[in-house]
Amino acid sequence: VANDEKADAVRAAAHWFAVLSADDVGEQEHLRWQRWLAADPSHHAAWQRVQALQQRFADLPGQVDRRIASHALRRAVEGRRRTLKTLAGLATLAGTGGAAAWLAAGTADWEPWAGDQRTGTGERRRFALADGTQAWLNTASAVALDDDSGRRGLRLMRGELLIAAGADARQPRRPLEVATAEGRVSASRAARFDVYRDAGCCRVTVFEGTVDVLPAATPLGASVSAGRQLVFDRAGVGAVGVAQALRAAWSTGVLLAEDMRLADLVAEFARYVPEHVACAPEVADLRVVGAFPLDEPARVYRALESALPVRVTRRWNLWTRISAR
Amino acid sequence: VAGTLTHFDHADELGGLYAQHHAWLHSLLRKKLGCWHRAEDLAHDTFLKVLVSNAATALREPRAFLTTIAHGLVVNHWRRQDLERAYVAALEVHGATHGPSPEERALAVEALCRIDALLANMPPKARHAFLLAQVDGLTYAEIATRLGVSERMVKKYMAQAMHRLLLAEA
Repeated sequence: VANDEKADAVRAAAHWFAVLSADDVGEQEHLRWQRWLAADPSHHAAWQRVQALQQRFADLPGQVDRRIASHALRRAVEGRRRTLKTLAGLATLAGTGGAAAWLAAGTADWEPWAGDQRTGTGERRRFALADGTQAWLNTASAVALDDDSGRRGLRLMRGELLIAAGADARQPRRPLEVATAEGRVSASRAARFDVYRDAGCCRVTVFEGTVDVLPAATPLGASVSAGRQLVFDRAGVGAVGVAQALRAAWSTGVLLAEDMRLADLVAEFARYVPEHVACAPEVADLRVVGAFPLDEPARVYRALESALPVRVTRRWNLWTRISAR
Repeated sequence: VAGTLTHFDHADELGGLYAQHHAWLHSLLRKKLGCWHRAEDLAHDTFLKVLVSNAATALREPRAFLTTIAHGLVVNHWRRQDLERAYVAALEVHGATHGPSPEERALAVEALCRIDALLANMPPKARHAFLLAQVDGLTYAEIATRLGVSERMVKKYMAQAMHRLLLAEA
């Protein structure tokens, strides 16, 4: 019986927490809560635990922006689902072949292969839409055609897509639209732009023309003009920045580093190779300038070794480590 | 912690355990993590945990015991990495003008890990609503709009989330 009472007190405390956290709490409600609180010591004890828990959520280091913290905590769940599935898959794997397959799975976004066009790691593909729009699909990407009478549409499931859209030949002109789980990117006139989807975020980089960005969960979008880029997720758009030529150069098979941190270059390059590539912290901040051939990892590693004070260690074609020489 | 150390009064026992199983554990972790160095770190952490845990079980079923501990560490490792990634992406989305220093970033990720651990296994919508209220400080009306549900539903999520937290902590 004592346990039941305690369970009831805990349930009631959770209820009162929800009531009192509301925007407008009436006088009556307050009085009822106080009566509940005073009715039994177990109520008081349960309420103290509620307060202690609340405190733990308030307990963020001073310099951490609460909005950013909340955002990260909410988004991390998406990564979590992927991790759990990956771990479940591990049980059936054995040996080095298994490890390689698992590494590939670990970098995959957890959306099913439903694309009309898809590429494996290290692959790139060029294709054209019925209206003549040119498209390039980058490494480990999937896209589905989503045309209807009102628009020219593509759905990017994973990875990266570069679009060179002409004006629509048909009248009335239909906008060209790239949809992702995070929102829509559309161009109503000729435009060249790149959409890169990664970890619940989309980066839009515009090289010619203007595109409109509309996140899925808010009516507040933004326009991005040529030479600009912007990151958005379902909940909103970030600040507009300067476009990186890198985001178009891949279509020509080149990783273009314009004064890039080595760690960022390695993270970008890792998308194109099946092995795990890690950059040691002591060399992460070295700056790199250069054009690296995406299809020739060995040349990229040699180039890094000759240009920077680093050593590249490769093991069993499973991982590559870049550390100080 | 000092008290639990008495389980391993005999350094020989732990030394033996280490000598016999370290290479095996390291290779297991390397397959899981795909990285020799991280595997080394986690193997080390695994033996540290053994040091402060129940020696009897460790000695009776060493590999099963080490696997269980190592698995927990691997899950934490990925969770932490997910949080760190999400944090960096969130900084970018919110247009943070200057990135945090490595120390600030480590502290922030640490704090996020603590909060995230509290929210483990919470239904996604309750978790979402709870974070928007407790961390962002949004009102129920604002949360209702964001989630596309009624305010009454938001209140229900909040009660559900707090109830789970209280039960998990008990």
